[in-house]
Formats: sequence, structure tokens, C-alpha cells
Amino acid sequence: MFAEIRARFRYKKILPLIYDEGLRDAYTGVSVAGGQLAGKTVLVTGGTGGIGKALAIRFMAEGCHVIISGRDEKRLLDTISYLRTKVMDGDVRYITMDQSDEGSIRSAVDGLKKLEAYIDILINNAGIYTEADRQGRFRSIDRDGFGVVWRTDLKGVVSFTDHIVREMRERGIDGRVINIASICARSKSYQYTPYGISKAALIGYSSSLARCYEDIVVDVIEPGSVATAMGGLDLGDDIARDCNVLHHPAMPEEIAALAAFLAGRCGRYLKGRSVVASACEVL
Amino acid sequence: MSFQDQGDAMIKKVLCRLRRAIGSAEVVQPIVDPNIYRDNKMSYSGGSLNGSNVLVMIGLIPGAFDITALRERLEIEGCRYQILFCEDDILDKKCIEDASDKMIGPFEHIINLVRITEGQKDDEAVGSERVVATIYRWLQIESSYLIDHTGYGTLCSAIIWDDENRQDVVSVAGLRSLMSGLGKVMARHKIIENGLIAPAQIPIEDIAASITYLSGKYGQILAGEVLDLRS
Repeated sequence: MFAEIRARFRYKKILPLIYDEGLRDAYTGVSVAGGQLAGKTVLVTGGTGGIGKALAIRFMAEGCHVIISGRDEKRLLDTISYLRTKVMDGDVRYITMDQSDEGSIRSAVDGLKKLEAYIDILINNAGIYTEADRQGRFRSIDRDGFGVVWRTDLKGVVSFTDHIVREMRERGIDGRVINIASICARSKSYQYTPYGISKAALIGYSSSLARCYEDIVVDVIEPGSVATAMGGLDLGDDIARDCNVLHHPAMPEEIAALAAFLAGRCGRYLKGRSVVASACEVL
Repeated sequence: MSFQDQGDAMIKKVLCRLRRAIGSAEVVQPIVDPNIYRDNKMSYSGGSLNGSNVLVMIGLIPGAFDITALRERLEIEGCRYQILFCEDDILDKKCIEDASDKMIGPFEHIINLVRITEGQKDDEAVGSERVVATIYRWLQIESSYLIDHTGYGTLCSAIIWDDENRQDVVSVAGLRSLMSGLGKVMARHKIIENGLIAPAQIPIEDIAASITYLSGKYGQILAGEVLDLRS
């Protein structure tokens, strides 16, 4: 009788999984693009955040020249120092850019020209996710609250991408654009939030950009939960969760590896379409 | 939070505590690969297929593929592999076990490379039952093998189709649903299942590269995903 009750009240006990430097290294080193990315110049926006750093490490390890962007120069410098400890012979530089500000975007484009950096692969990773998005609020969000997310997660991406794509085409570069969206764009729990709406619009923009330009390949990644500060997790934390079939949120390095794979030869067959990287997560 | 929401949250908390107090625990290990692999600049799997046993199932049309590129890819990845050609639904678990007898240890990764039809076939009903039922059967047998023989494995299917053939369009919709849905079910047994659908115009070396990415450790986060490649 008691055994029957115990069986009826079964619960899952997930063993801990510590996301540390060792695990980060295990998901970083060896190529996932057949060595085709060596020598390419890659720009990663939002390069000081969790996925941004992982993207920079991945593309440096693939032999690319990496440029990261961010709003805060001190954080950028700290990140550059960290990246150089992770990939000793890697080439990494930075530009400052606030994606919600058109003037800052124009300065960043000028800054790239001064660096004589001609981008082969642009990864639009920068984005914000506010407390209101996290709480799934709707009626209490004012115009500014909506605008700040929309300007950063969509408008700034479109503006910056247009500048970079124009230059790619003028220089005859076989360019790649990889946009980091989110499964929030399709989830009933989040798709009405400023973040969800902006990411859905980003997916639409990507598909329209892919249709516009035959010579530019645009791919989209839609991650589920990721072990980053945005998701309330960081290096050193136990990331075991019952959130998907892997029982842990995606590690930023898994998203970075997917971006590198898509930036290689195989990504052109997925032009304009999304790849969902959520391990069957349902929000 | 409304009064009713607070009440619901409280009831959930009490049920959770009760479950933990009197229930039995199902201990689950997160799926992760913490190994650091040997450097391989030409890899698509992050080196994670190095030294692993791979079974490649090829069907349904004899001679539909030049598998040289696939062999080369598996050799670059450092896999030990066996290739089985299977024209119809004659596959059974014994075929896989016989093939694994030639290896040291069981197969950990199974790859299906399937060309479903070749050109228009007016004599068959739209959405060939034979094609879908055969792949369905293969996946049943292969997943049973992996569950019985390995603690962790992957199952990746590549469906090569003719996107202008009405019959293929219907069959592929069914197969996409099958591959997508199995991702969650298989993961309960520590089997990562995913796949891709590609038109016949895509070079086999690019399909092989994509398959190795999906079968390696970086394919874990793509469990239940079906990449829809277009030429």
C-alpha cells in the first residue's frame, strides 16, 4: 500500500551540473566548421555578455579575427583580457556601440573603417531582456518600457546590419549574418512581451533580408533557456534544471558552436530560416 | 499576484513538499559531454565522434548515393563505422547486432541516410505508406538497439527528397513529424534523436558534414530538431 503511494508520488531528482571553466573548455576547443572559417573577420555584438563571450572564444578558436562590441569600454577591456587568456594566439579587438542609439551605431561603423576591418560574418547577439519581460507583464508596460527593448533588440540590429551588409556587397564579400533570436518569439508565455515581439520581428527581418540579397546568407538561431546572467545563471553555478530533455539550459558555448557551424558551408542551405536550439524546451 | 494566484502557489508548494516527503525519487543525470577531445581542424563534430562506433544505414533506393564522401567524412572524424544497405523493411535488431560483432563494443551513434524516391512515380498513392512505414520501423529497431546496448547514444536521420514531387512532399511532412516528436521520447533513454531533410541537389559531402554535427556533442541541444536544408 505504502509502496503504491510512494510510486504515485514519484518526483525527479536532478543531479547537480556545475557550469565551470572546465565545462566551458570542453565545449569550446575543436572545430565544428571543418576549418573553413580560418582567416575570416567576425563581428559579435553584445560581446561582453554570456553568449557574446562564448561566440568570441569559439570564432577565435576557429582561427577568425574577432571584433566584439559593447556599450561599456571598461567591460570590453576586461572581456578582451579574459578572451586572450582563453585563446592564447587569438586575434580580438573591440568597438564601443550602444545599439539603442543611432548616433552610436554610426560612430561604430566609422570605427570599423578606421580599424580597416571588413566584416565577413556579422553575429547580432546584443539584446536586452527586462524584469518586465521576465514577469510576463503587459498592461503595466509604458511606451518607454516598450521602446527601449524594441530599439535595442530590433531597430538597432536592423540599422547596424544594413550598414554592414551594404559594405559586404560593395566589397563583393560572401557575407554571413547570424541573428540570435529566442524561442520567446513563439512561446505563448512570452510572445506578447516587448522581448518576444522584438525577437519575432527579428526573425521576420532575417527572412526578408535573406530574400532581398542573393549573395548574403542570413541564418537565425532561436535558443531556449541559456546559462547566462540574463537567465539568472553564471559560471560556477549549478545549472541542472528540469527545463528541457537535457536537464540543463543550453550552455552559451553550445549556441556559439551552432553559430560557427552555420557560418560555415552548411549554413547556406538554411538561408533565411531559423534553427531552434532548445532541446524540446516549452516555455 | 492576486489572492487566487497566491493560493494556487501555496497549494503547489505543499504538494511539492508532500511528494518529496513520501514519494520516491527518480534520479536523473543531466545530459552533457565534459570530455575534451583531440584537436581536429577538419572536424564538424568538435572531435566528439573520435573513436566512437557508428552505424550508417543506407536506403531505400539501391545506388542512390556515392558514399565516398560520407566514408571520407567519417574517417576525418576518426570514427569506427559499419555501413549497412537496406532496400526495404527487412531490417531487424539482429542485423545491427551482427554488424556490431565486427566492432569493439556496441554502436553508439546510428545514422540513417535515406533517398525516399527517385523521380515521379504515378503508380503509387500520394504520400507513400511504404516509405514512411519503413523509416518508422527502422527507427523502432534502431532505438531499441541503442536503449538495450548503450548508456548514451545518438540517432540521426537524413531524408533526401525531391521537393517538386507531390508524393515526396507528403511523405516528408510525415517523416518530419516523426523525427521531431521522437526527440523528447528518446531523450528519456539518453538517446539524442534529430535529423535533416535535404533535396537531392545538395552535395553529399555537405549532408555528411551536417549529419556529423548533429550526431556529435553539439547536436545534443538540437534534440528533436529537423534541419530543413534547401538548395
